[in-house]
Amino acid sequence: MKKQLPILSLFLFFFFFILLANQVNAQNFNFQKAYDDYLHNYNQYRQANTEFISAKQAYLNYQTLNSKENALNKTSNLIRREDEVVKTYLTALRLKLGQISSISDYELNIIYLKIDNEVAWYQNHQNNLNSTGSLEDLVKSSQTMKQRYQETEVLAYQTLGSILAGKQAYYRIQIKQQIDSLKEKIGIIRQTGDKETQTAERWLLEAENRLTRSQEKEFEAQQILAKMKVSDINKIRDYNQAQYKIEESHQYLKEANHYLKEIIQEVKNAD
Amino acid sequence: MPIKINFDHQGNNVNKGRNNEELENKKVNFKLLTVFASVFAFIILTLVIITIFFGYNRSNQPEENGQTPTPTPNINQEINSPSNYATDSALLQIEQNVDKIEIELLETDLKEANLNLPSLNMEIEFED
Repeated sequence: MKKQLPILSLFLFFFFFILLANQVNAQNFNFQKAYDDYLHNYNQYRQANTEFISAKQAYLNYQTLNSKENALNKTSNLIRREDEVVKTYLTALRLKLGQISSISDYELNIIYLKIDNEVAWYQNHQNNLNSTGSLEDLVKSSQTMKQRYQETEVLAYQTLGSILAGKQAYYRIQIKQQIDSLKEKIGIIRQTGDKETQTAERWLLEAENRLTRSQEKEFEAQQILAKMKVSDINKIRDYNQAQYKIEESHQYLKEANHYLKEIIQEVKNAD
Repeated sequence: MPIKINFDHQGNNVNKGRNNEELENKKVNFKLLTVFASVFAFIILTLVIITIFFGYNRSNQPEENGQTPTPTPNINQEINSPSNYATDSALLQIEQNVDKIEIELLETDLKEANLNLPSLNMEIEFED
């Protein structure tokens, strides 16, 4: 037993070292790194696309074995890069979503699950490229990805919508907290009776009304995105509409916050 | 220039008396000049002291030349007559929070344009 103790200690040391290293690495991988990774892959994809167009044109012009082989390599490289771009884009989106604290765990987990499934699909698609041996196979593989990308678009727009809506929800919570604090303070002032509080109380209702309007607009935006279908041709138009609703929601938040400033001035002024 | 010496009929030197008188006159003039210079210096010194003293005092007093100083911006301009709660700590804390939210609302990115979907070439085919 005594002879085995140093070996056991060494094993435990390496086990915890590897565990700790993995944790540190996971903590360091944040949105910014994921976004940089996405941009890097997107640049590589652009280069691959330029090379593909050139190789395709050469093959169509000359129809030689050499040009065909070159087209095969460039096409395979292009599809591989596309898979990588989508994977890194979704990862960046996932980490951005994780930064929004106001999104409920339930909603967050659902979106995470969808994104993870999508990333797994593109990873699998990328792995299958190794088994393709002809241009026809690559064209089929590209067609499969094109169809899948329709679903990815819906998921991406809905996730973006959740990010934007989550920001509004965060500020709405913040403003609501200030309204509640102000209500409490004005209640104390009313009980003391040394200042008229009716105006401030009426204005507080106006501020609360603006918060409600903000929530309504955010809900309208989410409705537009929830109705988005894979078969929709113009998904970007729907997303822009939803994004406009979010801007309106944000404007109501600004107004609510400005009302609070006016209420504070009113309380600070003597009757 | 040669010195001219006059003698009277008894052979006495006449200029000797005149020289003494001139010397006396010069002494008197010198004394007057000294007195005059002293008085003048005293007056000047007095004026300088008075000017410095009153000038110093004036510089410590607010200017009353009819001009008003440039007003400094006042964030509480709307408070004409402060209430009992103008300096209330709880109210000031709420005000501080509201100001912070206002800045954050202005700085919020409402588009996240950097996360727009990538534009990909999905038309891979080899037909003219």
